[in-house]
Amino acid sequence: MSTTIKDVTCPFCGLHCDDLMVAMDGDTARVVARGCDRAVSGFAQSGADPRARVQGLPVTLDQAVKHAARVLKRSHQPLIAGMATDASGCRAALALAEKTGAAVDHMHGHAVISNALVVQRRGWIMTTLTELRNRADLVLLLGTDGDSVNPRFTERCLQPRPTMGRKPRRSRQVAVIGAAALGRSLKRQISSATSITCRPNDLPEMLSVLRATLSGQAIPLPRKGPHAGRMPALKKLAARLRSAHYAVVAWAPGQLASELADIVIEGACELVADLNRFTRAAGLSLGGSDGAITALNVCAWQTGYPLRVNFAGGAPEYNPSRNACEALLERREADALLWISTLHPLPPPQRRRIPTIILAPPSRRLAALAEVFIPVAIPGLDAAGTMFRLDNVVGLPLRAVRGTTLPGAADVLNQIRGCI
Amino acid sequence: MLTRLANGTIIDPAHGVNAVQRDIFIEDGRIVRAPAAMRKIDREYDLSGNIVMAGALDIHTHIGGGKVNIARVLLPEDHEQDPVAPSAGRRGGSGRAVPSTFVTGYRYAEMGYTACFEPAMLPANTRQAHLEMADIPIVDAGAYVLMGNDDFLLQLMSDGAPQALITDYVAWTMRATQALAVKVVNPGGINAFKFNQRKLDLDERHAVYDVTPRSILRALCTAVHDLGIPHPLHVHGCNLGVPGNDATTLDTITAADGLRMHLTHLQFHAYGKEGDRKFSSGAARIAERINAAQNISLDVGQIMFGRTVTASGDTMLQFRGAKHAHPKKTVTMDIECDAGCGVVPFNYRSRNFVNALQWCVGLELFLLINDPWRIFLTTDHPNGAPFTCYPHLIRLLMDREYRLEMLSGLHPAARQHSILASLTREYSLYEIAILTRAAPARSLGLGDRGHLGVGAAADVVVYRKRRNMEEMFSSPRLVFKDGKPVVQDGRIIDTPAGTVHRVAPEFDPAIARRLQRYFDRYHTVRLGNFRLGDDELLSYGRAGLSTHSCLPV
Ligand code: SF4
Ligand SMILES: [Zn+2]
Repeated sequence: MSTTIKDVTCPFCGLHCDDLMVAMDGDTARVVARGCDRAVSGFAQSGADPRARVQGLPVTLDQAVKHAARVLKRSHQPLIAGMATDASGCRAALALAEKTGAAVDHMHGHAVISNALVVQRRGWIMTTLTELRNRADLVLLLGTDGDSVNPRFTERCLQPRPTMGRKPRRSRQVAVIGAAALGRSLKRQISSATSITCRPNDLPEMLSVLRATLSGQAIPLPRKGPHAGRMPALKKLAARLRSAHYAVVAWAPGQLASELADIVIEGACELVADLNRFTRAAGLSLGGSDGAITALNVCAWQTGYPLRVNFAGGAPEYNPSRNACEALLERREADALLWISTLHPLPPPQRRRIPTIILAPPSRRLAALAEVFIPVAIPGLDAAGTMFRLDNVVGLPLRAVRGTTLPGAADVLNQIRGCI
Repeated sequence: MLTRLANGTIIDPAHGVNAVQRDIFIEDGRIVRAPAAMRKIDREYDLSGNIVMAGALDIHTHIGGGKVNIARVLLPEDHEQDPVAPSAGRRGGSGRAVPSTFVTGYRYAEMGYTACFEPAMLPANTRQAHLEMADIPIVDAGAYVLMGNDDFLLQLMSDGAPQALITDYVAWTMRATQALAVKVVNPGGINAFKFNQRKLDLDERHAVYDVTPRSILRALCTAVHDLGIPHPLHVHGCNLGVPGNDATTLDTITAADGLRMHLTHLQFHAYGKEGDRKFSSGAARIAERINAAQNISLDVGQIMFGRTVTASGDTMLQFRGAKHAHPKKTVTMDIECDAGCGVVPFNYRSRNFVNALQWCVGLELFLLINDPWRIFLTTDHPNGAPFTCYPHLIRLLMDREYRLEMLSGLHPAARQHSILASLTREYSLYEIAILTRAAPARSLGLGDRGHLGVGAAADVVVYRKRRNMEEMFSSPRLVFKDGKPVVQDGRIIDTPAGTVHRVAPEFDPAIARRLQRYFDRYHTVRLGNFRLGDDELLSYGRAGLSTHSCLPV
């Protein structure tokens, strides 16, 4: 017999849609309404083979926990990374990091920190999804089409007509600056969308020309080369931004060219600041998936810093480049890794074999990789919890729609801490 | 377990007890009657020569929720000055202007505070606010829900909805967000800023909705009154920080029309525009008016010199104040058709005329307002200064000589513009106990806190007598939370979880149908998921929920 549950929150991307309908048939969950493909496959993950393993061999949970504690105790510089879990998982991971002197980063640490660096340099003016949906009469996407990072973004936030502007019922204009493919996919969702094509590395230049045009300065693009012919479109866009009542400039930090991400974000924030001199405008950062915003928030309130902290010296020490997961592994500074990936069994970045403890949904592949593998509940499917949405304000309740015998990540992490 | 606190000198204004030597007995977390002579005392403390008060309450401190956490992320340079390492049974973090959660709890408890109230919880940010507060150990918490800038309310009012419907909506919101009181910030102004309105006076019309700040205040004050919420509407008025806003404040008092109203961080709303610098103290006029208006209570929001950060829901005024940011970076957010937030780091300097006069204005308010039951001790943490300066502030109130000494170091023109030097009042210990314990507990309707009567929660603080009040209040000898010793000689010895204080007003369920239509049409969260339930809140790791009664009219 199958039962249907309404208004289920989806944990599988930073949009955290909470309107899904999920049918339960025994132990199988199936999204029957309003889920995107990512949600459908996320909820369809099986909970089979719920056994913990040490060096590939099945053990009891207790044995796995004790072994994990030994690995961490022996380590001089543990690294707790991945951090794809809910708020309770993050709280427990930070408590364990503090106890073991570990460094902490998220699997999307680069995206989170690209934003944080800009905030810490210059601050920003931002908005949230309900504001965007109801108030924004112009949305400019930078280097993203929205849906490739948050699949229902255009459906939920751009397709409805804005209703609360100074001129309600005025239709919304949508524009994108970025690779040609982005413009094409955006137009499939919003037929009236316009696009200005450029290579990802040229976004900073496009933004500065746009800002200059907006402020009436003439710094034209070179007539030759890759941007030839972009000037009229940029001028038109500047004019539309100028006359918009509430423009939103959106980016997805994880989709920007890695070494330029903070520069593009800074440019976007400057553009928004320029607009706010005479009209209203705000930024929005898309993405925020795999619990990135949840980890950022919990880490900030518990330590004062947005991830990439290291407890090796006792008090949390924040260093966004030095404490990056990849950097710690590359420099061979970390000598044990605790990898938390509770939404999907994603593998850790493995530069070199160091003892690795993995907390993830059941997965033979990961079990074979790890010194200690502990299968855990998927928050929002197997376990209740809280995750924060990409706009960094709204916390959504996750439900346990499926019964499970698997422990939650927080429970396992607290048990490990108890053995140290 | 039966505990006796023997021979202490009790100061308990809720019962009119002023420096009376007697024993206090504690059992199961409560203060109990003196037991029969033959009962065995399990634990006894000799408090001869010590002062005993109830645990202190901070009625207005930004300790949890979005804007505080944004302020944390904004200012790593602030935390780096005060790293806190973990120690046995204690978590680490960082301190200074916006301490991390654990450090917040420890530092409050170390000063003898046992309950702290977050005054600006956005409904959209309810889960974060409560989750953060759950990571603040020892102290109890509660939150005031922010209303008066949400499009739902402004639409209702524009459509001429009856007061009863607005009142139902207020009650629904309080229940949905697990709130203890209702706060309004720049009524209508945060919303108007989203429509690019840059200023909104008390009687100025919103650019789109047919409302004025006065009509919003009126609607919310009435709702809070009709629902019988113990704490009056908590008002952060229009024109925060603007010279000449003393007139707005006087008009706001009139707008209350005799209903109870709490004016928060009044120091920021008590500026005249007289004098050659067009900035003067409005404290005397306002104090005179408040002394005669029994329906008004306030907290001061004293500033102290040094670096801090201002975090407010008032996007309109914070955006305007961004040019004063130090360092030069600010965050502004429009939030969920609900409210907003603005975060501006700030450096108050004693040699700056405006800052020096702000310091004087706050102290003038403390000294000119007669009734200690209607004024509460706050710095609007962290906006005026971090809460850790409370002992210093208490000394300023109790020690005129010290006050004059501090005053002499200020910008000379500010000294001339202030009557502070002529004010001779010195607060007594009894009055300080009113300001920090009895009065806030009574104002919030916490029947079992803020006093030492039989049946009260055993939140008890023991101070060694000192001549220097700053030293005395910085480091109590003992602090008990619900009967457990949590601080001894200034050191944390136990870190129990605190309780959440809230109210649960009744409402006509018809409002939920109307909200359902609104949410379906506009919102990106489903109505059912918007609400924070009891079980979910408790699952954050709370000792319990304490529901305080409402007395509807
Ligand atoms: S868009 Fe994101 S949150 Fe929404 S259903 Fe798809 S994966 Fe889930
Ligand atoms: Zn405040």
